[in-house]
Amino acid sequence: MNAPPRDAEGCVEPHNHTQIQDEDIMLRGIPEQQIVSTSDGGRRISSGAFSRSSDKYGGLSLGAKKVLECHGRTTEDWAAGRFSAVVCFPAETLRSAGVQVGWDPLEDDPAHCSAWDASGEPFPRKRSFRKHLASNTKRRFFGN
Amino acid sequence: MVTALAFENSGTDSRLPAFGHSDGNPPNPSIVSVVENFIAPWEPSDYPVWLNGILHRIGGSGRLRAWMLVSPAVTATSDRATAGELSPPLPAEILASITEFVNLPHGWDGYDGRPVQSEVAEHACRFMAAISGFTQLVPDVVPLSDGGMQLEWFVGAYEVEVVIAPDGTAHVYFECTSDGRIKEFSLDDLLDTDEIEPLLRELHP
Repeated sequence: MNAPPRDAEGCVEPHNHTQIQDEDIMLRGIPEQQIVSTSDGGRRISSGAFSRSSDKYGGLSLGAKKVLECHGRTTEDWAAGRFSAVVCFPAETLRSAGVQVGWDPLEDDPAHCSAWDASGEPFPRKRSFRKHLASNTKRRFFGN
Repeated sequence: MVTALAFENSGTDSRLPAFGHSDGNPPNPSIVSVVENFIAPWEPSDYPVWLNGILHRIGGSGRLRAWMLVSPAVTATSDRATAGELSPPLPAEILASITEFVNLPHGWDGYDGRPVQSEVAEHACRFMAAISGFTQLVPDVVPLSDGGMQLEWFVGAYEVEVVIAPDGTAHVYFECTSDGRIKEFSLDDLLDTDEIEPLLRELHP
């Protein structure tokens, strides 16, 4: 993967990484706190799980499945002990809605990516967008 | 309108003041303060406490002690909220969840998530107190990665979500799946409930 653009502080700037293809599968890990019990005894993922992070550019943290696999890891071991569910969707789901998907590797998570509004603004807070995202994903719960 | 919470002082933390002294009344051993939406920890060292209608800043440090949780929530009167005007206490499970969210460790979401900011928790409690006059439905509460919080009501065909951002702004989403209506708007003042009241009233059959 080509190195992502960084600002003077070393933070990855919002960008569309050219080596993340539209059809590449992105992963969003869901912590237990963002899973809500439903009245029929089921569980649903809150749209709050698709909210911006606290970092400088306010991106939505993601994982790139193909980068994980390049490091010999599976979705299951990436998520183990860290998340209670994982949702999966192609990068195109974000890009078609005007969101950039870039590579934002972390020391302990080389597959880490971020999504930002195409204008470079933080990830959209609008619920209608997050609903669009939530309705175009496959989800998998671990345990329970 | 005041949400009154009473704390029981077990005397386990000698650094905390004897609540009740500052209003000239002797402290009640079981009901020691009446506060508005008191969610701790407050940083760095002051606890704002409403006592008989006066805001006191209570010195002290550290995080919320278990004994300070509302257990049980007790209504009482104060100069600002006479009997009959007092809101029902917030449900204990909501307070427990919010307290948990405020105390989440950094990175709680598996990424770089911040704990819910105490100001956000306060806004949420004030908002729930403000709407308690026209809905008693208890929302689901969800922490957000940026330190904000989301309140959600899913009732039949209706969905209402209120996102409270760390900067104090709020974003409201309403959807009725049976007739396709969607409303989405931002609020600068979460306690101005004029816009959201009719939407929440629709949750009631």
